[in-house]
Amino acid sequence: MIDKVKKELEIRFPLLKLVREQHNYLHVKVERVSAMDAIVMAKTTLGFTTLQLISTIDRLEEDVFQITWILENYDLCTILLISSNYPRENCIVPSLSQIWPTASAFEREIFEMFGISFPGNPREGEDFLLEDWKDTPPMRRDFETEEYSMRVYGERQPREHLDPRQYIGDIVGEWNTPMGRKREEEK
Amino acid sequence: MGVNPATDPKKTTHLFFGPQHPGVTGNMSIEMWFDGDQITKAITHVGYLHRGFEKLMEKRLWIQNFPLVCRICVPEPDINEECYALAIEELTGIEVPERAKWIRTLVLELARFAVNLMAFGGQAGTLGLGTAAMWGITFRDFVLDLFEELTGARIYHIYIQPGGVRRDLPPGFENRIEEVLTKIEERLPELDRLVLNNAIFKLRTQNVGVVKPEWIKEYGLVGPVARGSGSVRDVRKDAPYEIYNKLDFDVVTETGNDIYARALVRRREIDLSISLIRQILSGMPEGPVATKLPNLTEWRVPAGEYYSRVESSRGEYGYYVVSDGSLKPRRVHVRGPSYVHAVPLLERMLVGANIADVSNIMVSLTTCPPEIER
Amino acid sequence: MKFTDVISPFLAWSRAAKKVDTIPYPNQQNPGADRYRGFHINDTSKCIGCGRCEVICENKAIDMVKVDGVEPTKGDSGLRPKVDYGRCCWCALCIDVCSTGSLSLTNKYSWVTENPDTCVYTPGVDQKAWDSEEKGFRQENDVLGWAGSPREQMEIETPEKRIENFDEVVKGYTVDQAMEEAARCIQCGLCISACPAHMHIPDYLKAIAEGRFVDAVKLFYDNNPLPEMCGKVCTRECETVCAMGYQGESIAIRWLKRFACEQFESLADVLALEAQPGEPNGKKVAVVGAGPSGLSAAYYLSRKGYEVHVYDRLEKGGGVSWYAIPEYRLPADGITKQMEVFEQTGVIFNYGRDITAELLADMENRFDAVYLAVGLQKPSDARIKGEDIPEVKPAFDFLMNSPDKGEMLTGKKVIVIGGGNVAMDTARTCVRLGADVVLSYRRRVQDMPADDEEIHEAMEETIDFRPKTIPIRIERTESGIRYLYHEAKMVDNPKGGRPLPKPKDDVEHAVDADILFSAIGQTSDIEFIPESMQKEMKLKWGRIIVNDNQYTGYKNFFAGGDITPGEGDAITAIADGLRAVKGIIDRLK
Repeated sequence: MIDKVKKELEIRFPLLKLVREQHNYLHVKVERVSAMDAIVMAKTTLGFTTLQLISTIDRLEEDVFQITWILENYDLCTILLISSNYPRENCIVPSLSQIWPTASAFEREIFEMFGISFPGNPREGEDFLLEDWKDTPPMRRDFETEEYSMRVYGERQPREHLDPRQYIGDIVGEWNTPMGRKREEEK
Repeated sequence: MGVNPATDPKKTTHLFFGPQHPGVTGNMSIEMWFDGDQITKAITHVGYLHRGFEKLMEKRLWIQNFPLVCRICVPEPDINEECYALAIEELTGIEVPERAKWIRTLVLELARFAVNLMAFGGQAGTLGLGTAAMWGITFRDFVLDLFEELTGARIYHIYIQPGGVRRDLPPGFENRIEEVLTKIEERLPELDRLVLNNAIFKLRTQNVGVVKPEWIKEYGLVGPVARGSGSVRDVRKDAPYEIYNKLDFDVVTETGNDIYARALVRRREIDLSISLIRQILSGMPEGPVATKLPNLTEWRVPAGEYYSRVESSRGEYGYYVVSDGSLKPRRVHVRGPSYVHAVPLLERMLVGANIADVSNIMVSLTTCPPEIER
Repeated sequence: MKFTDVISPFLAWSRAAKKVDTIPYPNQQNPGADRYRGFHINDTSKCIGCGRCEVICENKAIDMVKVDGVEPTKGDSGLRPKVDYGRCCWCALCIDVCSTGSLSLTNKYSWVTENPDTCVYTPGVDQKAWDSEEKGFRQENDVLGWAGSPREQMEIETPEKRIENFDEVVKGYTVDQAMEEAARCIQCGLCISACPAHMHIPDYLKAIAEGRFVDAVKLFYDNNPLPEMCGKVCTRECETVCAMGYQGESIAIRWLKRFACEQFESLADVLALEAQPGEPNGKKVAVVGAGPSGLSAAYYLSRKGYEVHVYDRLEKGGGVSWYAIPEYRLPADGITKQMEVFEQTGVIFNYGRDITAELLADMENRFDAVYLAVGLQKPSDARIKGEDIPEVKPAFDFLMNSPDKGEMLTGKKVIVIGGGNVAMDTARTCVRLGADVVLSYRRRVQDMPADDEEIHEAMEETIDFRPKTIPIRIERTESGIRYLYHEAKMVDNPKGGRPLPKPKDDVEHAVDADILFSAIGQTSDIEFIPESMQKEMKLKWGRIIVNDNQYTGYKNFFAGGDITPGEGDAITAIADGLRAVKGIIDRLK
């Protein structure tokens, strides 16, 4: 079954990259331009009639968002993951809410959490989890939770605490050597 | 909430149901518009439970996420641990000893058993049949005693680990499971008389909250919601994990499409769990229960992505785990069945429903907001 | 819908006559299960304060804090975990990773208090009602293995093969093995408290685990200029206190040090700018003895800008620790690689110079400070009747004269007396030269001062161990010598300490042999120090007593290494050198 799916996808999308293959599991990476075609093809001709999940990975180092659509062939309990990279700046991804009624909720969440826009979703922008969030979308890698909580809620009194490794070093005079390597914190 | 009702405001009632209401499962709310006592439009609002689990997981070591993932589901924490552990094992290639697989299956089945007992009684509870709900909770408590003995905790077990489980079964544990099974089995007919053979229950649930079979594929419905409408989907059967392929069972399915059918599925799942637990206990092999892991604070999971699936009491449950080869996960995306059951499906099912049936319908879908707002 | 459906719910009333399932608290208590994850207890005498619990706690509920009555010692940071029950989620990860298994959870879960601040406490130190509770969640390391893991196994030559030649017994780690082994380190730093030189062990293990071998070597040289030697023959006090050693095997710190050094052809190139002479400050220091202690002092003084002259009786640097240790443990060609570093640092070596009173007097005039690190020169007397027979030889002299290049002992029978590393080295060298070896030691095997590994390997190499043998006398026979001894029994020492060997009976046992090596230690020879100087110094049993900065009390004279009382191993000597550098810098300010 998976062999057939793989072959048909490969014929249609020669640039496809295989990520993982098992007897009831296939993960492929396609070019951005072919992502929608691959999903539609999977639904209409390959039997992957259900959208299980739309997931986003913030690949900050590569400056892209990796969007993964997880589709399922219900009768065979087979999973197909289709991934594609989208540039991080003003990221726009086509919506699937016209094809699947479930897509809307996934896309609303991604819009809130990553700031990715899905034009074509009739309920885009409707509050999902967050209300009146003005900051960086929270699931982005460059959103620092600790920094945010310090900024918004103020710093807390740190508790009394000693790091055994540094404490032992202080007691035995580990850094009191002729060449004087510095203690971690003082560097 | 900036959404305007579609109908004439003079004729409709606009109501917020939840987030704090005994009829709501978990902390979520439904914004509803009524014409008389008929719902004309419903919107699910979540966000009251959002604790940023997925963000937090990216900040913690792989092993430190186990005390976190179990908290996504109170009644059935083990599926989260199992899903997360399965993904890590797939990415790292860690082997699980045979006995650990059996113990894991035992734990998952015990948890399913407990949650179905509670959900079955709870379904009657939404109709004011408090006794049935209390009995369901009591039966579940007997199972929680077993969990306490096995894992050291009643609710958040933190028992399944990559490469196995954290402890072996205590001596004589099999006998105690059998005692509890027998005790509950003896008393289940009482619960049946109170719930399934109850005129009120039948009147309020039959032909109410209908899930049409054609919705199953469209929405991706799973678990009792799908199986109450004739589906035979069950990950335990279709994509067996752990040792489910060594157990003898048939997928429970009903064709009533209504709440009564879903309650019946849960009731039959209870019997199925009892049978599976007995099969597991009789076939349990000896051997080690955990594979040695590397230094936990220096443990790097090789880069890769995996979507692991298990069957929870509510249906197919998935974890999309992404590693970039570092000490911490790159992304963990939890996909619970409530995502579609509580948002698109519930919004659709409630239209045309009676206001008195809202919590009834919601409980029959066992919506669980933590799965939506991890 | 049936008529019975109206009736059947009322049958629930039948329950009213039966026993309730609810527990009537508080009349009936509901104790936690045997494995319940309740409140913490800590056996503070077993706890070593490694802080592993603090690191693993994902909620940051545990803080390591100082507590009254527990002082930091070797192998114990003196810190103990303090738990904040406002944050704890009782996941018990801290229990499963506890390196000594001292931390546990009890099955108690009820704690009523008016003051929420008391819910922060130090288990085992702050008295609690559940301190002596027997039941609860306990570590089961044999199931999980999170608290201690086995060591990465290194390839070692088989005993049959290794007695045929003087090739190195230990093969060394491969890169993968080393990185894996180093990654076992939990970064607690207890090892630093045990290392006499206080090397940055956690840091260089981390560097090795991450493949940064150059960084590792640079970290070695921060307070040990002889890392390759230490990587092979160090007494490795660090490994005795390793937190991983309590329930698993300690990290192979010594082998990892050796591994990192062996990754490079030239250590001088690796260090490059970090092993250059410092800005000259116009001061001159003489170092007497080119052993580990002298070399250490020389290296750091030179790096600090002093002009350093090293004098040694031998023709090469490295000292006895290099020459007396046999090839199969410490190959002599490694010395060149290490000495390059010292030369690059600008240390001036004067080899082949006998250390005499005149030379010392001359130094006193020509140098701003003198560091005496001459070591021990004279073998101790065995004090056995007949030790003046020519076939009875000091083991130390035998080892110093490159026995691997000397004559074979094929077919000869050799007796070695002693239980230290020198005895092991001698016995194992003789086996390699083809001799039959009997090793005689007064006490039990576990009392032997030699390294456990050395003893173990020696036993594998067909050496006839005769522990608990008290020498009586050595006699001359027609073909060689005869060694006579009593078998001993161990009696308790009235003064405390190790049990004493006493003759079991009057039976005299005899062994015939060709040669007997006595390896019962070395003593100092301080005759080269002029009496006028000796008077000003504090001496005890031929050793120089020094203060914390290795200062002798005489003018600008410092001393260190084996000539001062101490452990008598290389790493202690190196540590002495480091202290002397500080002392000299302070004094010459």
